[in-house]
Amino acid sequence: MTRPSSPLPASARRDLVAILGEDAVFDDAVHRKIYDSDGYALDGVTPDAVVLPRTAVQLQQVVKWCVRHGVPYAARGAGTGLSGGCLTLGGGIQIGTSRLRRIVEVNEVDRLAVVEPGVVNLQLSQAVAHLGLQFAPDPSSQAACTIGGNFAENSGGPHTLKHGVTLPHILGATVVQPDGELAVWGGRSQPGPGVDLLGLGVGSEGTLGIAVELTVRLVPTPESVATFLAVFETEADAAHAVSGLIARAIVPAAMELIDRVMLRAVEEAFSFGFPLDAGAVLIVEVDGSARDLKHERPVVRDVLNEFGAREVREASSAEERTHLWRARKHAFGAIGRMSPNYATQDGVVPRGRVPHIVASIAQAAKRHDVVIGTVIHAGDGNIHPCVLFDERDDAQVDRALAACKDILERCLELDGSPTGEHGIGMEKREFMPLLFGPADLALMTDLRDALEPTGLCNPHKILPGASPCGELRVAGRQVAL
Amino acid sequence: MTIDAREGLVAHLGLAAVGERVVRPKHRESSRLCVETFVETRTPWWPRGGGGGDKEGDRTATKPLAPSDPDRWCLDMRGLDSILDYWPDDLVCRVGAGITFDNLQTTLARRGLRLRGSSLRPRDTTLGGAYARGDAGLRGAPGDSLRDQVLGLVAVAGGGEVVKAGARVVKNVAGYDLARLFHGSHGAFGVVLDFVLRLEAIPGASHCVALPTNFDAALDLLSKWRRPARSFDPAVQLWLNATASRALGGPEQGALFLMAEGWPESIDAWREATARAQGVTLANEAAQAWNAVRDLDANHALWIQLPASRLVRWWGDNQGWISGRGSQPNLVADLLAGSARLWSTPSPFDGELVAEVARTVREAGGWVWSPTAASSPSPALIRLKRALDPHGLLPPIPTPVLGPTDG
Ligand SMILES: Cc1cc2nc3c(=O)[nH]c(=O)nc-3n(C[C@H](O)[C@H](O)[C@H](O)COP(=O)(O)OP(=O)(O)OC[C@H]3O[C@@H](n4cnc5c(N)ncnc54)[C@H](O)[C@@H]3O)c2cc1C
Repeated sequence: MTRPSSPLPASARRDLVAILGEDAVFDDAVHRKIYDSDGYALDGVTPDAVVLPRTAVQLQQVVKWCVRHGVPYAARGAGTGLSGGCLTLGGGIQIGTSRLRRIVEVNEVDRLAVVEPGVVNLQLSQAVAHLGLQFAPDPSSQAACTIGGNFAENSGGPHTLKHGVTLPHILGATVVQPDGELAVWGGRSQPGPGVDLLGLGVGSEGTLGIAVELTVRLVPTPESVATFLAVFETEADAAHAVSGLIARAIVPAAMELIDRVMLRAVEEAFSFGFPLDAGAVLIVEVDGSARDLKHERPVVRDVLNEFGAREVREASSAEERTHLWRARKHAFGAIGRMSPNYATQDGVVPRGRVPHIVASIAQAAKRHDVVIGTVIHAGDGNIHPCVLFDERDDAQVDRALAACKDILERCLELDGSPTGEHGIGMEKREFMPLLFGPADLALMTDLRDALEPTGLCNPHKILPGASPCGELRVAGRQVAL
Repeated sequence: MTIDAREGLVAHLGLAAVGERVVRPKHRESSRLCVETFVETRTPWWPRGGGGGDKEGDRTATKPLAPSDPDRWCLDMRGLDSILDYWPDDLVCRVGAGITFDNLQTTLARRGLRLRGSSLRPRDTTLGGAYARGDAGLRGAPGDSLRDQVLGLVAVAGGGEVVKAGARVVKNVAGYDLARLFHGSHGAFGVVLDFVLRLEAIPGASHCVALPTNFDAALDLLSKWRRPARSFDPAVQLWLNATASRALGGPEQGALFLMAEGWPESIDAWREATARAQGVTLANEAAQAWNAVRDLDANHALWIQLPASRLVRWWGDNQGWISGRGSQPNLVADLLAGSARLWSTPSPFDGELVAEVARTVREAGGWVWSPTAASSPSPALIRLKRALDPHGLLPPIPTPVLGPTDG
């Protein structure tokens, strides 16, 4: 089933142009190169062609064409995915949704929106802000990533601690199934009886079909917000404060831990005024009615102080809060300035074990002699260590990869998972047997075969097994991480 | 089931646990063994929980959506009723799938915790039963349904293999989420043995009100609250038509039942504001009213999925002819979830009326689920069923009477 990437034969090009028009089919070397990677920059896969349909019908016709001709394909949103999810592993066509970006309907009474998959996450929230509503999932990439991508990855974000990840915010999806036929999963209501195909589809990384329309929930923007920055001497103190807050029945909207290395990178980039001698900072945001916050503000302060914060500051204005979040959301960009390359990892541990994984990350950095800067969605136990390296130095690359592997294996030892938001994609397939037993994996295979009988819809992703690799960007890299 | 196999079960589970076509295991391993026996002897079977408010008591094989096949064995899961693990720092626990909501909530309450969104359910409902029925529990705000509290589970699939889904963590996107297979599928793919659940602290205060309101007024109130959106919404927003309201001891003309939760200061303010603004009748006997709502017999109800605004319009357009057919329709609408239960008293709706209701709901863009009528599953679902239940021993896949994609 696998085949190397190759340019499109003339007849195929003709067919696709007939469906989509000349300006929507790209098979020249430059475009194929542009689309050969996503946010997971370590591996690349050159597609045979890239197509950009303008309507759901066109997209469906492309899928049907692929099925007729046995050509593999993968959906691509904004290409910000961090596990190679949209790459056509083994060759095939990338079907981009960037021209499907209409907000079809907003219903303020039912608090829902119907959108095409290429609508950018932040643009939806901006479009409904005047109604006092927002789309709750807020990945740090929200200025670029699409709602189709969020659906496929079940994305999270700093504010998913309170509102949950993408799953509860998707009510329905119209999907071009792998055989090219349309199906409706869910609807406009909370899922009820019936096989939860929608629940299976969310987070299935574009391997069970391509969403061409999504019905999403909108939630009210909070009346009041309070954002605290607590400065701690050690990461461990900051990590313990997280459980302390939860134990006091406070569910913050967000709770983000930034370690010393990351702090320095962010400060150099944004001059926010972070204390450079701190071990870690914790950003805690609570929101709700003004009365709720009257109750929660002092509790948050007390708990942070109780757990050893040497300073607790509250953002004094909306601008200061926005600046603080911008600094946090651009942390990955900021750390990119510190070294030629970095690998962003994504793992999860139970919240009570955040202090353990923080210690393990420090040990891994020491053991492998690498610099690691970490941000943690601390309330969710979701860690993002960024391992710095220089790809020109093979030894550094090996050490960086070994550190990543150590950290993720430690997540598993701590009853966690090797991915909380970025997905398995092509990157972490080899971790699956460490997390799941043979019966679980066999059932997942059965599930995929039942819902995706063609073997053409984003193949070779998620499940381990013999499958083609990408074009390794990093010399000496042996294992997909 | 062969006599030898039955004796094997008796030897492992004890005589008391094996009845007339019913087995009542107490543990994960004994449940697995039962399924293995069903598979080996090719015995049709189905899993059951508490009966989910089934007023006629402990009936098994005749329960709606349970198969009427008299040779089918019942795997009664109510013996798996304990809290197996509890991780206080994570606010996560692992429980047997046969535990009832009442039992779980009572135990958790001793630690100031609860499972979110599960207050309005018949007392005997088990977690496994509610999950298999896709029952969100009359509390439909985003993230409130049982589906959203399940972090992981262990199940036995129809082929007899034990499978694990999810993990102990609140965020996890590793692989296909097998937990979803068992949600809403009425035991068609297997039986859940235990759940890993996310918990939360019991809010400092809560308050319920019942506002006497007909449907138009309810919609009016609803729009007022929701436009512009407010961040403080009642956690439960149910509208009951006159018949349902009266049957449950509520106001004559129909009622909007609201329950708000939060910090005491916020709830006090909400209570005062609600009373001032709408001149409402506060349900001082709130607990009594809620108990009545939660004990409503959802088993025999049609389950309609339509968002609030469409539901209101649909009811306005259709209540006349539904009542005109000699039935007394009862409607309880969960305005947050966008779903409603519709049932008839004293006798159930006939098939023709169900089909007609389904047609009109479908025209409004929604779905109708009925315990008695269903359409045929899609080819993808048929393949899924074959993969998970290779010997065809489990009940059929539940399908809507008519959905938006049906012809
Ligand atoms: C700087 C940075 C920060 C990030 N921060 C976060 C974060 O905080 N939280 C988080 O969860 N992720 C984060 N990510 C990862 C990424 O942004 C998310 O996974 C996002 O949802 C991907 O959206 P996309 O449109 O870029 O999808 P793509 O990368 O284009 O595709 C991702 C997957 O979705 C599939 N897909 C795309 N569209 C569809 C569709 N219509 N139907 C079916 N499948 C489809 C693709 O095939 C692929 O498997 C971050 C990435 C970067 C680069």
